[in-house]
Amino acid sequence: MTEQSTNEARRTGPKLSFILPLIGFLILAGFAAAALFATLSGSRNPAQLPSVLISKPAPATPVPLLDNGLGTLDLADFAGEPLLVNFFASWCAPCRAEAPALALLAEGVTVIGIAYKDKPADTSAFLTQFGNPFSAIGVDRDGRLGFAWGVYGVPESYVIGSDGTVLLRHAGPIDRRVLDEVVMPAIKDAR
Amino acid sequence: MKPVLRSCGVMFLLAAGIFVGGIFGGITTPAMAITAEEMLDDPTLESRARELSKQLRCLVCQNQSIDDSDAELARDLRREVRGQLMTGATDSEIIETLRGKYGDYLLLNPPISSGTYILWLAPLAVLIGGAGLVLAARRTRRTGAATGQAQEQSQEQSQEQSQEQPHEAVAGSDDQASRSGFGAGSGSGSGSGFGFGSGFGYIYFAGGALVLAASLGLYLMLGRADLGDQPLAQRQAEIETAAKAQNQQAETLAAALARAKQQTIDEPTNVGNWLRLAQAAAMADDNQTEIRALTTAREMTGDDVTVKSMLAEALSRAAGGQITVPARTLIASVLASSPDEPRALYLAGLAAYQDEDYARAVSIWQRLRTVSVDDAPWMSLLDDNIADAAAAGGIDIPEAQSRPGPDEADIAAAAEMSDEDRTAMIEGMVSGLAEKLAENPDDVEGWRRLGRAYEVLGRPEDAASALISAANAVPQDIDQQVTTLQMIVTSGLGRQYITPASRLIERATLLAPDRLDLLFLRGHFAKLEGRTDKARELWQRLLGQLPSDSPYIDDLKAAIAAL
Repeated sequence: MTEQSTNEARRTGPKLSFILPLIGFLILAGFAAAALFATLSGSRNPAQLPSVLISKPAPATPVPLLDNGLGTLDLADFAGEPLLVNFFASWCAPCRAEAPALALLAEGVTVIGIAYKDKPADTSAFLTQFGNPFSAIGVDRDGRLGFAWGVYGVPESYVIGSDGTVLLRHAGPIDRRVLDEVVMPAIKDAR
Repeated sequence: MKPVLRSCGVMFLLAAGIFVGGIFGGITTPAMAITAEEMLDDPTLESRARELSKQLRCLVCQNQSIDDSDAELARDLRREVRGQLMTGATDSEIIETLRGKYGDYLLLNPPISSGTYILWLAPLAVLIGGAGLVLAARRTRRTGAATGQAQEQSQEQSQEQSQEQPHEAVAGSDDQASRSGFGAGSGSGSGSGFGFGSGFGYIYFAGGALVLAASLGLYLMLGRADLGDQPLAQRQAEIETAAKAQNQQAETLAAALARAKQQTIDEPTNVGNWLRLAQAAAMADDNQTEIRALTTAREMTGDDVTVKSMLAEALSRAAGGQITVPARTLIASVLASSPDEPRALYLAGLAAYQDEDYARAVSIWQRLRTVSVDDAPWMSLLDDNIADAAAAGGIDIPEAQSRPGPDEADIAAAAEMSDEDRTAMIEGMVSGLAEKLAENPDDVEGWRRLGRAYEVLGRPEDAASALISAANAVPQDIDQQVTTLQMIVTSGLGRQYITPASRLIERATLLAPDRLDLLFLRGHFAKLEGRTDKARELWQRLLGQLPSDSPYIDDLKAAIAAL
């Protein structure tokens, strides 16, 4: 009797109880591996969150200009050409790293800076030290403009089309690779 | 128990483990990050704010709610939530406003949408699938062999018994012995596959319980939130000693800096004082003083390329190693006037490297390599950098780095020896190299090395001969001709080597008739040949071409006057 029971267990048991969890595990492992490889190859970046502004007009919250604090930054003044709007701050280390790439970009594209939660004096010192690629600089002392744009950390950059709609958001510093592979193609499309 | 059921049981245990772990994890997490000043006075509004905050994700930390997170952004969002509550907005209005800025990702409780339905439906699918499996297993059991029922009973019986007396099952009474050793397997774990005797359920259970108990024990011993940071406490004394030593060093450096500053005050017109101040400031990590001192030195020397390069380096150091845009401008202007300035070349390579333009970095650094003397102090660093950049850019560099004969390491080793030993060692290497060069006179690098080795040995004549051979090996290389001529002039061998030198001069003049350092050398050799008029003419020409602020002008005027 026990002999038979053993045999029966051998016939059905190993199959189901072994194969089913194995399949479940393989499916999960497949998802994990796909995510891992996408991250390694750079096509997936968990820190890059989708922006709700994409294909919508850029928010028009007025902020004072850095120069004298008298004028107001209005993106409409730059309508008709693609823009790069860059949220930066003197206290932000990666903003230093992206300065050369922004300088390169500014040779062909209008770059607007938004000094996010920064003292104007510090911003000016930062620009003297690391170079000023910006055609205009708005001062967002309390982060209100950043909130309107959904900024969640600096540096953060937005490509704005000629018609004022947001085409791309890039969170994090722009290095040469990002410039060539992400920002420039978006600007080319916008033209 | 059916095998399928058993594996479901195992999964249940795992799930329970994760659940229990989650509870412990939850207990240790600091409950809130909110500060007293943020809180609203109205307790009802404040509790609504807290509830809302718990539903909103901090986009910086991503796995914390804004209620938990200390991040700047979380604080802003908490403030925003409270601000809107004060204006009388409803919870859903507040969530909608924020969601309009930051998207669905802000919500820790994600809404059902095309992107999240798998997330919501997966547990349901697993539950239904599991139930289906159990039902299928039951049906198999009912419609199984005729002996199925009896087997069931027997198995259940055995299970009951082993539950009552699990140890006796191993010991084996008469009753259990009749089970032909199969029942014993339940306790000893000697079964050879899946789906064996019912006792295996206990093994899984005991294993799971053991893991849970062990984790709890480990947690209570090592991981409790109220325990201090143990490794740090042990290293406290070590850290204090290191800090003391560091303080002392900082004091020494600060004193040196103060002395250097005083010197620039005492004698502000001496450029050397400003350069020494820059050096002391660099040692003391005082970038601002360094930059100020170098800026002053730059003005005093009228844009001297070395000072400009040092300034570029200081600016980059102040920016944490990043070659900044102002530094790049300086470097470019230095290289435009003197393309071989080593510091500017090094920084230009570094800038290209930071731009991830590795091919350019390698080519700039290799250029620096060729214009540097082989025992330049930056050589090994440079080689490391070239290798780094080549690896990063996937560039193949020719293995020209390893050459025969004495290299920097050999010469450094020689410095450690006694005079006789050193001389013997270098002479041994030199004669070996000289023999090789006799067979292969086109090896210009070899001749240069031989020349340097002879200089170390204090044999300038042999050094000059070797460098003349180097110049002859590359007759089209203007730099090598000039370098050889300079070596001959600086070691005072001009008169002795006047014949080979004039050959080099002829060759070099054809290649670059207007080169300034060549004009000087031509004048010098014309003077040695006794052609004073020719020398005067050449040096006058040189004088006309030197920039008006060149430091050489006075010396040159004196030399012309002495003709």
